[in-house]
Amino acid sequence: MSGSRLPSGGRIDRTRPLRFSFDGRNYDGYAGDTLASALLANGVEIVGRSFKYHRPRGLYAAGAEEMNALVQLESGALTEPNRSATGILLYDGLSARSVNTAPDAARDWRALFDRFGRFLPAGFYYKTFMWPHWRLFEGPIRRAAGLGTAPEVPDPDLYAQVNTQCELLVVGTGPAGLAAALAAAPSGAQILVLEAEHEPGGSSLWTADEALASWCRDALTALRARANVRILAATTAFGYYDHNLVAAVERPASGRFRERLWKIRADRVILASGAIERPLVFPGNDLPGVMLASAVARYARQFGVKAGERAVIVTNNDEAGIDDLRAAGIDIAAVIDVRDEVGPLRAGGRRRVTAVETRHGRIACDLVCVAGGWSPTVHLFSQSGGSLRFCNVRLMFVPDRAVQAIACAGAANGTLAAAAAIAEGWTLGGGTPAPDLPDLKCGTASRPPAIWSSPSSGKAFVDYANDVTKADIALAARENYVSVEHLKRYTTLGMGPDQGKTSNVNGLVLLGEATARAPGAVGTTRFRPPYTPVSFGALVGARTGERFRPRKQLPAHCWHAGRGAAFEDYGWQRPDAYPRFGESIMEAARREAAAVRQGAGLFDASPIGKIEVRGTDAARFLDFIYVQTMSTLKVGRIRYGLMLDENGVVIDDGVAIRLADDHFLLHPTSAAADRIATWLDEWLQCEFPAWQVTIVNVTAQWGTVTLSGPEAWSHLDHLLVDIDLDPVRFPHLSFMATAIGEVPARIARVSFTGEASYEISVPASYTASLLEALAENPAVTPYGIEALTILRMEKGYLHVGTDTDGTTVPADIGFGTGIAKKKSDFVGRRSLLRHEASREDRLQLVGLSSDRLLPVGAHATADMRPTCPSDGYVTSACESPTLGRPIALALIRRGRSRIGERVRLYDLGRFHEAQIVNPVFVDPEGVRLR
Amino acid sequence: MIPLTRIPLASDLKLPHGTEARVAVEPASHVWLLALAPGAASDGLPDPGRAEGSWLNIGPREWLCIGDEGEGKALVDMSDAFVVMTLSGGSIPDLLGSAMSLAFAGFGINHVARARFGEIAVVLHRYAPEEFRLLVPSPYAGYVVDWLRHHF
Repeated sequence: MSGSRLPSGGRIDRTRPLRFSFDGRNYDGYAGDTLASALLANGVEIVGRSFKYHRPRGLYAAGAEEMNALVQLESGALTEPNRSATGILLYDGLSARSVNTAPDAARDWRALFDRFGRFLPAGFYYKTFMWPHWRLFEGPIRRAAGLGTAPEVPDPDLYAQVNTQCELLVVGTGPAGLAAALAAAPSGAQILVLEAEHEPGGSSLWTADEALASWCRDALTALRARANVRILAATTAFGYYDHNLVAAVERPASGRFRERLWKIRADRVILASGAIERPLVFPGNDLPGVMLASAVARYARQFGVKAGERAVIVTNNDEAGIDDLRAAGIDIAAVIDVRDEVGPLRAGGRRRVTAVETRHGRIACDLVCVAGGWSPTVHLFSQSGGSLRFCNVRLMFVPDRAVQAIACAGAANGTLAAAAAIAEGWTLGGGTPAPDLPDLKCGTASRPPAIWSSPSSGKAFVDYANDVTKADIALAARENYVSVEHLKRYTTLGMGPDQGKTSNVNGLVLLGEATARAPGAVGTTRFRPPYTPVSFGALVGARTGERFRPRKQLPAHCWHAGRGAAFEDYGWQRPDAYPRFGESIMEAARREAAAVRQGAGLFDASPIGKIEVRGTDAARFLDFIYVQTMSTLKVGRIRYGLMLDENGVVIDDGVAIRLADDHFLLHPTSAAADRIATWLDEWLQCEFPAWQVTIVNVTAQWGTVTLSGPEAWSHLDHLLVDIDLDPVRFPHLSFMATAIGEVPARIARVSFTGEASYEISVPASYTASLLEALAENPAVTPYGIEALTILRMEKGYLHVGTDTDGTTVPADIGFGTGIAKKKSDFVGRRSLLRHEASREDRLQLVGLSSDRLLPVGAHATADMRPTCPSDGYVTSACESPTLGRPIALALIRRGRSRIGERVRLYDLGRFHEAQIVNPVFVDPEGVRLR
Repeated sequence: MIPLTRIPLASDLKLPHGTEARVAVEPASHVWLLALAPGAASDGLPDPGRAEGSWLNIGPREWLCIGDEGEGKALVDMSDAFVVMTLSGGSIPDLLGSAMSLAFAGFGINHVARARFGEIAVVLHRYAPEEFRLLVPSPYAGYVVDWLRHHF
């Protein structure tokens, strides 16, 4: 091949030269070039190496079907692997390398693999390289057969996603697509038109038919003038999903976003995605210089690039565009019509094609234009669930029956002639009468295309992307892989980045020949998204960094930050601790915990769940939801309760507060608040739709501040002088709704520290002010989650999900009594009455006392063998500042009957010793709570 | 008695602004929630998916009242549970389309949707051709503003 730039012509801007590099060498191109056209214009013959045999490969196509020219675009953080050179619009300074070549495409040393090709047939890895072990060979084989390399540093570019809707989505802006949009536009319907190429117009951009090109230009102008039509170029529709959801990826030429993923919900879709020309199968058909005839014409007309000087055309049909090639100044050495009993045929040459050899002799050439017929681009139609049928006359799979609101027009429907394609699009767009068409050239097919492949020996490629040859398909058929799906998996036919755009039909035709079946009987593999590769950046969109998973922020976040809080993500961003200079988090936590035990600590408990349950049936509803009976709770009082799932397993705990006869406030755990609110609603809506109950999740409405410790009351009493908080008149587990000045406040006497506590809730926007007022007293120490964890462990308070698991029932954590006596039904009750729930050898919550801090997750074992069955495990552990020694909580088999026993615990190769003790380490009598 | 000061939520957020779109936080607006038990009369309240005056229907038997009209009724104060943002400008549907799958062409004036914004649930109210009100759960206000800034 000796590609060169034509002196004139093409849609490139010759006044804007651009510099770019490929495989380390610098070249020139023009604005409007693709990387592929610029490489061809510079005479670059070898643009890549084949996947398996590392054979030299040149440009083969001009569109999305190109399978040889995959490049690693740019380097460092901006690099993108496996981009097709035909889809990259040239820009100044572009830098690309061929993929998986060493040192480059032209000189790849792995080309020697080709000599051992006979040992590497389809599925060789199922049969060879087995001794002594496949693993020995797997790495080198995978590396040798790889493609580009993924970037190793974060992508600095921005990506976005767009959800949009339209009444009509037109995919493709060739003659049929433009006609469809033009016909539909006067209805005023919202129309979105997608074009995968950088410039709309489809085949009209490179047609030799000036009348067609002119009609399409006018149609585009008319569409652009309409407010209800939006045309997106450089946007590939790659996936078609249920309910007419079409996904497309846009690579904007400018703007903030490198790529945008469009999720388009369309009332109706017209698919005018054109057709892809097929190769023909003969030895040497992958040599650089063998190209699709349509691609050669397109490079000439759209980019002003002549792909070669002297061409041989090999065709099986009447649509090879011979006139277009001549018009481009290419000398046609011969036209070989394979319908004419041509016999064996091969392309000769070593690093590029130099001749075509037939039984009549050798024809010297530097370009072979292959025209093997057309395959309508039916990928999206098939993805939408539509069925295909094989047309035995035109030798193509065409759309048959649609199951969603999609219709195909033009070449995508098998209608190749432009005039007929326009008429088809126009009709689908709802246009009447017929469009005013110019006098378009009509196809002059005199005889139908033929199925053909050369009977010559030698590597005749079917799938260029994965190096699948005609012999591989014959081998698969011999080994009984006669289903097209099995053929695909065994040979990898159609599994490359191009997804078999040029190879699938040839492959299944050959399989049909080998198994005496017609192509229609062989069928196609299922088309699956994406049509072309989609970057992870586009799929992720804006969901990176802080936007990956939204974090809730405390209403007084800034106040905590100002106090030097070390935040941690607990669903909410919460202070772990407030370390002072030089303190570690755990040192700070122990200091804070000690301060709470000795004086008073201040904690932001705003995330604690707050769910209001109101209505005349509220009490009986809560009796059903909680293990404990809530209907007997007095107004102004608080009761601890457990919630179970239908299996009797503990899913949450917390307190219920009775605000009025028909009004309760529930405090589920922080992490479960939203889930529990939804769960309550689900029970109501599904099981008790007539009950007079409403549920409102007010968690975010109230900021909650807890003052805890033996001196909590005295500090509060000083500040809230108008409110009687005397612990005698306002004891543990009581509640009041009051006001601090004009600000409504709710004060609850509940504790998760084991100390007398006042939990004060105010509207969230007052939280920072309340914290500030309480913290003004230097004797009050702010404490974080880590200190709270220490304090609740010392008191033996469990944390659901930490000290319980997916099997824990109430009896396992000391709440077994009274359940059988509860008269009314509750969620999980039936499961608790089974024998399994009361077995004596269940895991039960106990305390562990040890000399060394125990690792959470360490398993109790009956003997020294690490493989010995587990007898339970450590759930929480800390260094207790109050006791001055390590403590732990654990779920231990028969734990409560083993108090005083010593156990061995195994963790990561080490054994630990501990004694089973009562889980309440501090104040078992509860004196400090009062 | 200690004097408590209100510090409006989201007051520390840097709101994005441009020529074709503006985002603001409605200052000190009250938000009330009315949740009715099954069978309770809802006369005079807007139908599902619609708004009338200050009232927004946000789900079966659930309404939000924005403003002081709801005060004194048996409503739940949710003023601090939501940050109420106003978004105005011709490009707002495109901006919101980055996070929400909503058919804006059919989402007319005084239409209300309880919908997903990225990963969270919000309430959207269109109260003028190019004016929207977005009710964001207040703990997620930073997330929403960050998202909008990314797409501005």
